[in-house]
Amino acid sequence: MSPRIGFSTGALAYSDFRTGLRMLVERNVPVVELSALRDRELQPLVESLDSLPLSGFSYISFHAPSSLTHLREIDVVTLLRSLIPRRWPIIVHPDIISDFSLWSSLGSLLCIENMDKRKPIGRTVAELEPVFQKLPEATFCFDIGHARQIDPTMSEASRLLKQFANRLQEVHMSEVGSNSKHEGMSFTAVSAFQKVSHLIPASVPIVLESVIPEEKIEQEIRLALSALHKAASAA
Amino acid sequence: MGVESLAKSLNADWSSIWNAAKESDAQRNRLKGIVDREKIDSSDISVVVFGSLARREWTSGSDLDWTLLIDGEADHEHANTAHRLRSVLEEEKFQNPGATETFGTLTFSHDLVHQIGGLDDSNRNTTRRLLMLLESMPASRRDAYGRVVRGILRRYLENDYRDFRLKVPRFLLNDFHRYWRTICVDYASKYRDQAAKKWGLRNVKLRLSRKLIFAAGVLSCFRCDPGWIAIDAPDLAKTPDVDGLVEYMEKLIGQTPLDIIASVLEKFGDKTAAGHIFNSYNDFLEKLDNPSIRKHLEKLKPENAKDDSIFQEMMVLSESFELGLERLFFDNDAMDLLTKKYGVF
Repeated sequence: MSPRIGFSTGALAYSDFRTGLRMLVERNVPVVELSALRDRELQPLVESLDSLPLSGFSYISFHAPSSLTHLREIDVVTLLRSLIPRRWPIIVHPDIISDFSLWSSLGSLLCIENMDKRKPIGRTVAELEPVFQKLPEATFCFDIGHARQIDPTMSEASRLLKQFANRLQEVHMSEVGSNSKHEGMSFTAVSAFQKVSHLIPASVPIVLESVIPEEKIEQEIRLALSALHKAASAA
Repeated sequence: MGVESLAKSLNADWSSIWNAAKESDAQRNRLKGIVDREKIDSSDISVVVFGSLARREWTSGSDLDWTLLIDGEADHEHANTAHRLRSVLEEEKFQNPGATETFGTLTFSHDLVHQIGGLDDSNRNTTRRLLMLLESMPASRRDAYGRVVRGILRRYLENDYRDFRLKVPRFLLNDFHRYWRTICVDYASKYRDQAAKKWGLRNVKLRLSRKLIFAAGVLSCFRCDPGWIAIDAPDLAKTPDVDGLVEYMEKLIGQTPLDIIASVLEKFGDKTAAGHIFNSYNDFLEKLDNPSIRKHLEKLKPENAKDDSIFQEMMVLSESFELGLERLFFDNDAMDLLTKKYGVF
């Protein structure tokens, strides 16, 4: 089974999700994550969903805001609840959760992502376990770039993949440097990712968060395939 | 201001300098293509080149002095990335760096920034650090490179017990002096350790290209003199601070050594010194670009040097070069004062 690889719209076009989608549709990329990383982007994206060209994707997920500055927690969850009928995984950073009972209403669609070094929680198995205890139905979004930034030996990445294997819903992949920015993958990052790629089932969709120009989409997908130890062929 | 502008003002044609610069740009583009294709660098990793490529003095026999500069978390994969780069560069027929392992491997930013002086500032660390300032450039991504250069400069420029003020940075100047003397002493050491292998070429390079970077380093420090900054960077002179001085120095040392020297010569309008320095350097590059001359110098035995016409021609060039530098540093009032005040004691 070939891995399904796609992109986050935010990585390709920041808040301009239509442009990000256009890039992926034109290339028949099968996986997309609709991104509303800033809370003011959430409502416009939710309201646009029916008009977006999504029929060609075999896997769609939705990235919830990573910080709350304009909306209250309850407003965000209310907007996200409107997505439940679509059955898309909803990727959430654990550090924005204050009221766990609110978020548990998303059930198994709630997908918790491991964090980078800037965040005070959610970076390691030890920090994620209490989160999953409070959200027992939640699934796991494994950000391999974040895991490598936390521990370049990839030991923590291996622990995360083993400990939360039965929750693993999706993988985020990109280079995350010491400045915590997502960028195109380097040879060093690809080599590191290969160390744990055997722990990622081929059925798990890969969402690239590499911030790259449009003309490098195919190249980045090839690098992702290489990181997964698969034969190099663009999606 | 720079070599081209100086040449124009003197109506000079330094064709070997132009050819070397053009070839350097072509080689750098080739290297950038390789580094990009192989995804070697990132925001935490820069491939940094030194030597003739960084000085824009590439000639037919030039080797490629490079390092994989790491400014990020320790990652054992970095060594594999350096191996990968070395192997790709070999495949692409770039000539490997010399045998000292100063280049062609990993360099970590922490040692460059923190180990200045003291017991842990090894010869290799000093060399890498000072060459970062005197003759280096990133092959492609400059994120890590820029941070490290600024980090090194900041160490030199703010290390003082008094409040910040504009002045010739003695700490940095002393390290340029120390490095130059180290090169000279190491020349003698290599002569002995390597049984005079490649002695002739090393001798000539010491007298010209090595001396050139030392002179450019000293001039860069002199250009931090408040009187000089008042003219070159009036905003910095009005509101002096360490950030501004770091930025000013970063721009200065971002030029090639030849450009640094040319801009000072242009400022003082010393045509005689300019002729001595650039005519001889142009001829030096012309000869270095001739494979048979280069090979001849590499194989020349010290005992034969006295009667060797090629080596003697190179000595004449180096003497003219030296004469030009002496005129520049001692024979005009502004430079003479700075040289006396900072050059020796």
